[in-house]
Parts: sequence; structure tokens; C-alpha cells
Amino acid sequence: MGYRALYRVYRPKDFTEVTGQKHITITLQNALQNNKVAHAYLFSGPRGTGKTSIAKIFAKAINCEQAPVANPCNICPNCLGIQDGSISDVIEIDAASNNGVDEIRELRDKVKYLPGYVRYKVYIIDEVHMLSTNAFNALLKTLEEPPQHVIFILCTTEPQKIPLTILSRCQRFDFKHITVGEILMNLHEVIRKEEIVIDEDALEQIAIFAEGGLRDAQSLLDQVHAYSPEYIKLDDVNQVCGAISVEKQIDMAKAIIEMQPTRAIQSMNELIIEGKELYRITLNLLDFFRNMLMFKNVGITGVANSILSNEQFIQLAKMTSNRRIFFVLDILIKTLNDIKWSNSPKLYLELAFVKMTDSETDSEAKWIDSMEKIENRIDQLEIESQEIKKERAIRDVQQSVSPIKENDTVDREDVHSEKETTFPEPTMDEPQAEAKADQPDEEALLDDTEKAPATRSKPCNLGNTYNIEFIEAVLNNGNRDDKLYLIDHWDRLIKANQTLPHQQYAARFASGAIKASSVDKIIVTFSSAAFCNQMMKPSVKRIVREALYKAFNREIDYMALPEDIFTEVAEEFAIQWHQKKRNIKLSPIVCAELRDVSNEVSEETVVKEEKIVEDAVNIFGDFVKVKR
Amino acid sequence: MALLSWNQFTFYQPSVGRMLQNSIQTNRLSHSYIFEGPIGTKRIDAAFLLAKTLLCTQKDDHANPCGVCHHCTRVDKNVHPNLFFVQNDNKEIRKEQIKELLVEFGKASIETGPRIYIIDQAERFNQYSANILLKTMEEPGVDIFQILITTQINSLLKTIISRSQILHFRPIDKCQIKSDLEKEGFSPLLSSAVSEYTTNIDMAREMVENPLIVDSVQLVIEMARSLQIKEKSIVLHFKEKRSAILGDMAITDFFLTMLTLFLKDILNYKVRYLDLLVFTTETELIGKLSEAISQKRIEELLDKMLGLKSRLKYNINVALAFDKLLAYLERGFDHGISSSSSSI
Repeated sequence: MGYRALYRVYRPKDFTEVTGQKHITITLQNALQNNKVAHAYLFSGPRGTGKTSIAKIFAKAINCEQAPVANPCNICPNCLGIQDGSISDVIEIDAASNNGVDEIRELRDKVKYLPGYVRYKVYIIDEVHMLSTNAFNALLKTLEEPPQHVIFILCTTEPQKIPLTILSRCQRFDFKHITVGEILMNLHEVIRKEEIVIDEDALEQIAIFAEGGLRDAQSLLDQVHAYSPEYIKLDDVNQVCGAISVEKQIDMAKAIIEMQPTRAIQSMNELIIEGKELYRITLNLLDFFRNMLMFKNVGITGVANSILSNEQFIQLAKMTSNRRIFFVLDILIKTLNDIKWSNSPKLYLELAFVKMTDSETDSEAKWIDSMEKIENRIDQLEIESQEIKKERAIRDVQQSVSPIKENDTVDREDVHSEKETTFPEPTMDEPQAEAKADQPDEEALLDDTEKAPATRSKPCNLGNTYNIEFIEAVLNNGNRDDKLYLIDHWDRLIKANQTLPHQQYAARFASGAIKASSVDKIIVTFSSAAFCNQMMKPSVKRIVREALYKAFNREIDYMALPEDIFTEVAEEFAIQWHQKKRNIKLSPIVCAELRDVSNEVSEETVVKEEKIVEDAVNIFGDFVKVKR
Repeated sequence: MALLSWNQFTFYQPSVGRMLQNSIQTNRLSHSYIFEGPIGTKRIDAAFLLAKTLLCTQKDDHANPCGVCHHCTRVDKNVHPNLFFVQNDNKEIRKEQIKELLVEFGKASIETGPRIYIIDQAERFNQYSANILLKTMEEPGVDIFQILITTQINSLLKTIISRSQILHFRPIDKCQIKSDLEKEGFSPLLSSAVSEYTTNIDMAREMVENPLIVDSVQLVIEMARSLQIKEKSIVLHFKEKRSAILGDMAITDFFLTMLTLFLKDILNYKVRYLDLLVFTTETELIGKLSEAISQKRIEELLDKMLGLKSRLKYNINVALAFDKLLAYLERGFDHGISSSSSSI
């Protein structure tokens, strides 16, 4: 039973055998050569990087018979004695099991005795981070000024746990991870001496898998050698250390990228049945996508990596967007953490697979991707529509310069308006103008009683009935709550008006939709323009207003508009509103189907009036003077 | 059920068996091993087999222990003076335990031959006990072997891992357990549910005979059914039955796992991965439920369930946690319906 693990056999015996850590060996060798050795050193770094080994070599070198030398001779009795542990002046202390203040006091007491065989007493305190606070403090004084013949070497993997007062009393050496190349060199040496037959890529896989620890690498080599003693292939290494073959990795990654959860979970299950560790699977995938990201953005990374030259890998990398990789990496990193601490890791990984291949979330990522394009298009459209709007506004202004002027002046000068009635209008308003000229008095009468203040003016154009100022007034003073209230209680209009003639108009009017309200004025839209025309007739308007009064118990003036016209107006309003304009002025309504109906009196009313007059004349005879 | 030979062991764990057998035959055994894998993968059996092989004086050509000599019988009964088996009662491995062990190994052995110590549940090392082991672990005395057995290799110190050879024990195929249980006359649903939960055949046998286990599987299905009915709240439904389930921590954990698996089935159904449904008898129900919930929602819910599962071991108000989870679950399924109605 004389077998010793490779890492114990191939422990370096002098500085030249140390793998990596050149920055440390050179410094120490120079110090030894020039006899400028400090009394306290702190070696810190990850596992398997040579802290304890270098400490032992250092202890040998300083006590070597031929000192001062840069390297221990390993043939003198001092070197050999220290090597096999028979010289008790080099003391290796396990701080983890001797971490109390008592043990350190004992050490401190023994420090003052001279060494028995060699020049220096060397205390190698391993795992020094495990010392208790009291123990550290007990050591402080001794560490600062030990006797001439004592050298302390503290070794630890967790330097952050060492008190600052200890750190400041030591020369500190930080050991680095050993690179894959250096590990490979060392492993080549080992396989040559041990006569192990191994494939080059298998050896490389071991070196990568060791993650910077030489001991891990040698230990793994040992293990793989035990697994297949005759000839070691890459597959054997993967089998032993639970790594996943490149084909499997690509298979899984492909399933993820191509959004096939079924295939991804299936290949995961296959791996589990093969005996792969879930943590390892996740880690491997993480590495895979990281490589992909590197490949896409940086190019080939420093470490020679076989996967980067894989044809399929390159193809996958090309068809995957950065954003998608980030997305996958995020999930994997989270899963890795969850798996570490969970007792149901498989569920976590399955969930992660589903998440990664969830087309919903992916489409979100895609949205973000295409967002810029859409934004650009919107910008362009906005610019275009603005231009169109401008053009139209200019055209409208050209068309309706005069009506606007009229509106401003009409209120003050009636005479002026009379002129306007004969103003030649190129549009379809002409017939109305003629009609109006026929019954000027009637119109005046209606004006007083029924017309809203905003439409009091007499002009004979469309603006008369469908006055943009009315819309402006409503929209500028829009009251959303009231609108909602009206919508909610719209049916009252019918319920409260069960008698003729209100019933008839109320029912028709109720078919419209309320679009805006400023409490005393509302805008109602209907589908047909002709219907609006009818609703805007003064006679109808009077009845409907009465119906509205009955229904809501307050005076409500309204304007009926075709839906499409209102949408246009509202859009124009909205654009200006978003430009932070208030008291917005809108361009007048232009629509071929709408007519100015302010002068029209339904025949019915005319007939009725005539009948009343007739009756009156009949009763009172000549006393009646009809004033029109 | 001690293992008799390496061949028998290799049947369960081909790769580990091959490696250990090779190492013994070529005399390349490492002084330190970590046996890592889920419960029920013959890790302890393998450790004892290895110990027996090391101690037995009459091994055959294939490194199999004889099983009848004085050494072998004493290993089987765990009374061999050269074998130390550290077990702990569900708590941390204390510093003193390891110190005792090391002191023991500092002395000369009572009997000649190699000495072996086996530490079970090595994930329960605390910071101190693990660090104490480090130095001895790297260079133990002549003919000292150590085997650490753990379910979670990641909770061990990196420095410990780096000093050992790690042997990964792969889980026993759950289909195997499922078919075993079915052969023994248990219902397919129960068999597949239990085989999802444990890969330890002995534990599985115990579980299927436990009425509480049967009840909790049934309750999961009942609750899933009432998810379809709007008037019935599963929170209240659970409240009526929860005393039996929340009384025992093991049952609580099992119940939560079942609930998670059911939801996972729904998810699998949604992504059309129908090979591995656990609740195979309820496919129709699962199909219906999968239509009432969005995939994103299921993912969120599963996250919550897994979160609760890992929190269960702490001192939390389990009843409250479950109520919250179930309410959330219910809302998840409502969500699909209400959102479609609100859009009208």
C-alpha cells in the first residue's frame, strides 16, 4: 500500500520545479541570494497554486549548508532532513486545528529557544485564516519583532480574513491561478515520468477543468488514469470529471437558440441519466454562451480553445444576436446560484430551459430589437404628417380667410354682415345663401331664441352651423368626468322623454355618441353627415335641447358631427395639445356633405306659425299686426 | 443490503465501479475520496465495500472481498477497530468530532492493516471542522484512507475538493423505481409521483405505504380540479385539510414538491413535452388547466414554489406561506379568465 497520490509525489523540491508564480520565486531567490530575508511572509492565493510547497522550499533554501544560495541543494543533510520532516526546527502548524489563543501562547513561548540543528527556525502556519481573533492578537508582538533565528511563513486561501495588523507586519505574496499552458507543461512532465498514455486534447481538458489549481489537475490525471489505465481519451476525461462533450453542448445550445424546449429538456435528461452533475451542466452551458459572446464580439480569446474552431459553434454564434445571448446568460447565472443552494436543482434547471426557450419572452427581446426601427419610422411619419398638416392648414386658411374675418366683425356690425350675405361663395353654400336672402327676418328671430351664443353670427357658410369656435370651446374646456357621467346616463334621454315630439328626436339623438363635454356644451357624433345636418336644424335643436334639459336637468347645447370629421378635428387638437399649446385654435371644418342649416326652418314650424297668425287674425281681426 | 462484490456495485454505478476496481487492482488508490451523489445511490454501501476490500486479507483476483473472514464480518457490522464511520444527527459536524477522529489517527492502530474513516453527510461540515481536516487530508499517515460522502459537493470547501478524488454517483433511473413500485402493486400515479421525489428504493417503498403521502397526492389533484371551479377557493380547500400535511415537515416538503410537479406538468403540457408527465392519469385536467394560464405566469409560480421549498427548512410560518402561495396560484388561473373579460 505504498501508493501516493500524484500531487504528493510531484511536489516541487526546489524553485526551478515550481510551476508558474515566477514573480514570487524570483523575488524570494533574490532575497535568499542577497541575504535579505524578511522575518515574516504571508502567502495567499487559491488552492493548488503552490503556497505550502514554496514555503517548504524556502525553509530548505535558507537552512541549506551552502547558504546563501538561490536554490536548496537537496543533497545536504539539512535539506534532506527538512524534506522528510525529521528536523524539528521547521515547524508546520495547522492553524485550523490549533486556532486557539493557548496554542499561539505556547508557540510564542517556544520561539525564544534557539534552533537545534539548522540556522533558522521556520514556522509555517498553514490555513492561517482559521486563527481566532485572540490568537491573531497574541501573535502580533512576536510577529513584529521575532528573535533573529525565527522566520514566520503564513499561508492562507482567504487573505481577507486576516487582520490588517498582521498583514502590515508581513511581506505579502499573492499567488495567481496557474494558467492552462503552465499546467499543461507540468502534466506533460508527469505523464512522461509515470508513462501514462493520454491524448493531447484529453490532457488539455484536464488542464482546463482544473481551473487554475495544479493539485486539482494532477489529482484528476490520477483519477482518469485509474479509470482507464491503458489509454486515456477525451471521452474518459469527460466521463470522470462530469464534463459534457462538445457535441452535446452544441446540441443543447442549438435547441435553446432554436426555441425548442422539448429538445433542450430531453438532452438535459439524457445527460442526467449519463450521470452528469446539474451544476456542471449549467456551468458548461454558461461557458458555452460566454464563449459565443466572446467569439462574436472580441474574436478569438487568448486561451487556445477547441470549441472556437468548431464549425457548428461558429454557425450558431452567427445566427444568434447579442441580446439573446445576454438573455440566456442572465437566466443561467441565476439558475446556477439557485442550483447551488437548492435541494431540487433539477426543477430549477428545467424551469430555466423553459424560460430560455419561452417564445413570449423572446419576442419581448425581439421587440426591443426592432424598437429602434419602429421609432425611426414613427419619427419619419411624424415629420411627413406635420408637413401635410401644414399644407392643409395653409389651404384651409386660403379658403376661409373671409369667414374668419366675418366672425370677428359680425357681432359689432350688422350692416357689415348684410354685405357678407351676398358675398360670392364658390362652395356649395351658395344655395343656402340664396335661401337666406329670401327669409332674412325669420332668421333673425331664430337667432334670438335658439342659436347658441357662439353661433349667433349670421354668415351663410358652414361655419355658421358647424362653428369651429364651438368645438374649440368644448375641447379646450373638456370635462372628462362629465362626459363619462353623460355616457353612463345616456339612456335617461329616452326615459325622460316619453311624449311626442320629444320622444321622436330624443330617441334619434340618443343613437349618437358623446365625444366631448364642457358641461354646458357637448359634441355628439353620428355616422352620417345628413343626419347631423338634420340634428343641427334650429327647430330640431330646440326640441332636443328641451329633451336634454328634461333628462339631465340643465341647459346643454350640442353640436352634432359626423364621426370621421370629429376624429380629424380631435387629432389636430391632440397634436397641438401634446405640443403644450393651450387655448388651441383649430382650422375650420371642411366637408362636402355638411350643410349650413341655421336658416332652415322645418316646413312644419312655418306652417304652424302661419296657422297661429291666421287664427289670431280671425279672432282679433285688424288689431293683429304681424311683426316679422 | 450490503454489497457483496464490485461487480454488483458496477451494475448500479458503472463508471465509479470501474474506476475504484481499477485503482485497487493497479494499487493506485488515492488516500482521499469524495463520494458525491443523491441519496439512495449506494454511496455508503460503496464506502463500506471499499473498506472491506482494503481490510480483507483473502481478496479474489477481481479485488472482491471474501465476505466471510474476520475482517469482513466486522466491517459489515461496523465494529472493525480500523474503520471509523462518522455519522451525525441532522446537525452540523462539530469541530470536536473531527478532532477526536484526528487524535485517534495520530495514535498507532490497534490492528495492523490500513485504516479508513468515512464521514457521512459531509455537506454538514462547518467552517471549523472542515478546516481542521485540511492538513491531515493532504498528507495523512501511511495507509490511512478517507471517504467523504455528500449530496452537495458545492457546499464543501474548495480546498477540500482539491485534495480529493471526486466520484460522482449518478442517480438511479427513476423509471426503474417506478416500474419496481408498479410491479409491487402500487398505483401508477403514486409510483410515478414517489419516484420523482426520491431515487432511493427503500425510502420509496416506505413512502408509498404511508397514508399521508397517498393523501397529499390526492389532495394536489383535488385542488387542481377545484381550480377549474370559480366558486371554490383552493385556499379554503387547503385550510380544511392542511393540519395533516403541515404537521410533519417531511410530508409538507413532499406535498409542496407534488404541487410543483403538477404545475410543471402543466408547463410541460404547454410546451408540448408530454413524455415525462408525472400525473399521467390526469392528462385531461392538465390540458384544460394549461389553457387557462399563460406560460409566463407558470414560470413565475414555479419560481415562487421553488423559493418556498428552499425556505421551508428555516423557521417560517408554513401555514401562512402556503396560503399565500395558493392564493397566488389561484389568482394565476383566474388571471387568464378575468383579463379576457376585462378586455371586452
